[in-house]
Amino acid sequence: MQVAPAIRSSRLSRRATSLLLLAPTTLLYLTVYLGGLVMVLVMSIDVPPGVDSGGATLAHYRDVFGSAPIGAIVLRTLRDSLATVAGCLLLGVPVARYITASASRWKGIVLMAVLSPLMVSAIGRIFGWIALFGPGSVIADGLTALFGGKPTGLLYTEAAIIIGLTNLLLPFMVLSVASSRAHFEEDMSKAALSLGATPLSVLLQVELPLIFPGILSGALIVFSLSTTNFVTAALLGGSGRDLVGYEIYLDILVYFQQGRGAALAMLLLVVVVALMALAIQTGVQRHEVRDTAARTRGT
Amino acid sequence: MMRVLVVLAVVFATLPGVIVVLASLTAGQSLAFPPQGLSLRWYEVIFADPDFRDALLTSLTLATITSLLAVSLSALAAISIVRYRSRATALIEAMLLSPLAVPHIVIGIGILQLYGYFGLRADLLTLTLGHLIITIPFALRMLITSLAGMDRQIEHAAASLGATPRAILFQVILPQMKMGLLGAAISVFILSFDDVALTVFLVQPGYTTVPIMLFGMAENQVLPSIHAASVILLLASWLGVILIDRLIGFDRFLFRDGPSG
Repeated sequence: MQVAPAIRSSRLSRRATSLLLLAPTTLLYLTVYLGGLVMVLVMSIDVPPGVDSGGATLAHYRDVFGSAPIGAIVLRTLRDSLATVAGCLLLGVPVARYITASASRWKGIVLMAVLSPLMVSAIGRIFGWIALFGPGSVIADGLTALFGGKPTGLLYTEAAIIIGLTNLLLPFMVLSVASSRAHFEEDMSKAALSLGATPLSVLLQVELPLIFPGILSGALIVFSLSTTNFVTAALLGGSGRDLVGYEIYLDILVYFQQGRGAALAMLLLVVVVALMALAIQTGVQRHEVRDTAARTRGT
Repeated sequence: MMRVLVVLAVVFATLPGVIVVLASLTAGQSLAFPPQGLSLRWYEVIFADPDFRDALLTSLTLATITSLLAVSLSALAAISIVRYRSRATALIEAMLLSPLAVPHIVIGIGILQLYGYFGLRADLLTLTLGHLIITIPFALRMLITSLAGMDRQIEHAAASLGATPRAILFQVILPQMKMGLLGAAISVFILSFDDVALTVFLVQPGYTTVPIMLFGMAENQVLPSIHAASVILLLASWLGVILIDRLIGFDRFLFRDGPSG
């Protein structure tokens, strides 16, 4: 009869300990983080000052959906983000194959060169593009020599934004595709080859289906990160070429259109969280694919 | 074909960093690459700027404090989440990791509005709280992974030999997490030291960080001293990457079990 309360109290103390360890961080997140997100929601439905009606309004959302300039910005964002995904796929898939399959001594160097930018100052690197693309640079002079026109180079064009975003987000694609290949057995390709498959059909019919979840989740991650990025668009695109993220930044800090900025931010939040959830979901399926592959090999 | 693309990717990934280092060494007035002559004059210019020195001091202090706090809080949270798994801890874990999916610009606007509502000004405390929100998810994810891969037998052995929970935490669990804690501390430092997307909403004139100063300078001032300041940010993050590679191994740090499985 003495054991039961002892167990209960130890269970209680375990629970108390676990929540005590989490308490400071949870408190911080509930106030600063969730509190802040609620503030954005409130801003987005807040009645603009000077308008004489109490309560909430959907006017800011109507403003966003009805505005032609915003429509153009959304289209430009989609276009540039898709181009960025394409750029990351073109360079990222070969790198992911190389660092997971090759036994070359260059492997470590390739991995370091392509993946270290994950941690290397993003804003510092943007100034590299400014130096390379701006007026007076080799690229600007080269473009002028080839096509004539003003010697302004690539700076402040959509091409500059796409190059900057691809450079920024390439590591995410490589990581995603490489981890989907982590359990890919080169033996499977060899088996297919020995059974008479051509290298191309091995790539398309054996490898692609296995790494497709990695490609998809990489594409979703790169797409959402490029739609929300505003530093690259601000510094390489400049005014007149703003993407959704930069437009939100301008609305809040420059134009003082708090309501419209907040409404746009809420819409972006919903879309990006949905895309990220989808990316995580395909990541989960990726593990299932792996398990299936492992089971198939086992039998 | 694949080889060509791999080489292209390596060049493309490293190009802007190399270019900005070379462009910062110019003796001329132009930002453009290639540099006109070589000199360190723009480093002298940027270090002679009291605003830059203030911003650098703010950035270093902020990143150091954020790193220490984020890693300590994440270590406690990770232990709770991995060792005392329950529905409540799973829910809290989801909340703590969610900023990985939420655009930082939205988090920034929210905190800006919240601080404005309570009349809080930009200072070390308000910036640190903001930076904790965006860095804890990274640290927590790393520490959960490192903790989940740990052998629990040692803890059971310690407990059966009469060690108190406190002794187990400090003498068994934390020493085994050392590399994870170090890796998390370095990454948090770099994330905080380099952040623009959130910080731009939290600074005020007179209290700013180096990346935000650069972001503002790009629009107004066009002298190569901006490249020199960029190189200082780049050097800090390259140092971090080298440290992680030497201490943990960069591929182990990125992939749980190495890229080739």
